[in-house]
Amino acid sequence: MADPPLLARALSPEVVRSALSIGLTIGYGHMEGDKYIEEWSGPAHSWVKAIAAGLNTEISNLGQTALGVDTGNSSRTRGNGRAFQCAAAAADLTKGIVVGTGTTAIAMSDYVLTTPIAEGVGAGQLNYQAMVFAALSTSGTSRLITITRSLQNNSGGNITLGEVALYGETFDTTAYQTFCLAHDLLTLTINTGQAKTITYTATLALV
Amino acid sequence: MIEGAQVGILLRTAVYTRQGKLVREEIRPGHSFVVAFAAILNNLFSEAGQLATIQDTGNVARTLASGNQASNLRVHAAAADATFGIVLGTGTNAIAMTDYALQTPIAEGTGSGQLSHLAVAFGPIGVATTARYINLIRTFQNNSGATISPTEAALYVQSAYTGPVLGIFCAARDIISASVDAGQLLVVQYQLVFSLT
Repeated sequence: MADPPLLARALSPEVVRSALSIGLTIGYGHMEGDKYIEEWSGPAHSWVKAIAAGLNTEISNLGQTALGVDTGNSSRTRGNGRAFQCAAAAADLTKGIVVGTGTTAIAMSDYVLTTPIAEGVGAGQLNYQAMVFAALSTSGTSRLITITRSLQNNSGGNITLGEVALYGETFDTTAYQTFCLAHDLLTLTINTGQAKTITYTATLALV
Repeated sequence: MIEGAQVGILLRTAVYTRQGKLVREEIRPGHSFVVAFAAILNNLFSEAGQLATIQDTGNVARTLASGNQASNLRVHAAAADATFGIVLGTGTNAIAMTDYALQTPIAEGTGSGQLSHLAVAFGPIGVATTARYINLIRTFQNNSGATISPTEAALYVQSAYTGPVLGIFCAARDIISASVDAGQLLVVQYQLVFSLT
């Protein structure tokens, strides 16, 4: 018997749209005590290629090992370790929600922020707090994965973000490497002395 | 209505003669990542910071574990293994987010109402300008001697729970309509679509 044809071909937009079942939104706000006050949220546009490649290695149990390029633009091969690790500690920019000042349009092939904002208190720098993960939550028949990170501006000047990304670590053949799982444009100014909290929410819905 | 960047799921069923001639084919939207898929993803993202308790396919509550296994969403079932991977049944109950198993599984074998499960097959990532595709394929052979009509499909994954031990959880479930005559082959394909929006 011939190999069954793959579906990796153009399908009608109507078919694809009707199949969409994991959405991603992005938002920001600030914390009042331990309560998150949302200031804005909207659709994220951009799971990028590393999330697909990583999931393919995960589902195939390393039957497929191509991870694509990491954030250093080095091609990586999946090895025996975990995937999609986003639990960054404070000041750790190797994973979790990270931000930059780039405004280049997003492409599926993106692998890194265009212009990352460094950790620190110097000019143009931000203090990244530890990533926070919520328990899986319910909204109607949907389930929500919510991950957040607060950014404190101690630089002495205002900083305007242009882009946000979600970095995750996945094990290659020798060590954990960082991959860009999602990348979005977001205009947000954090005034000096202010903190803002960025939120990614993945919604799994019956469609 | 969900919004934002999307991961979609498509489901293809195709019936072939034993000689490989296509008899009929249907491509439809999958509707149904269910709760286990969300819980396992939350576990991975949070590096085991969020360890939900969910039902396995035997309806036993399991608390997910950090599990240092290479994979926590594995569907690489071998031939004749109907415990995980793409699996089929004859149930017709509407899909719910809380589904944890097929309603009426079709067993492995050549007896009445049974199908021979081939190994789950994987391909490299499919590439388009603004999309990437993951393809999961399983072929079922009807050696039972009579027509079999699967009405549900599911994606069962292996994932670590407390121990850690590899358990089996239902990541997706869909209603399908297929009729496989004796001697025919049924190909079931799940495709995950990642697209910019």
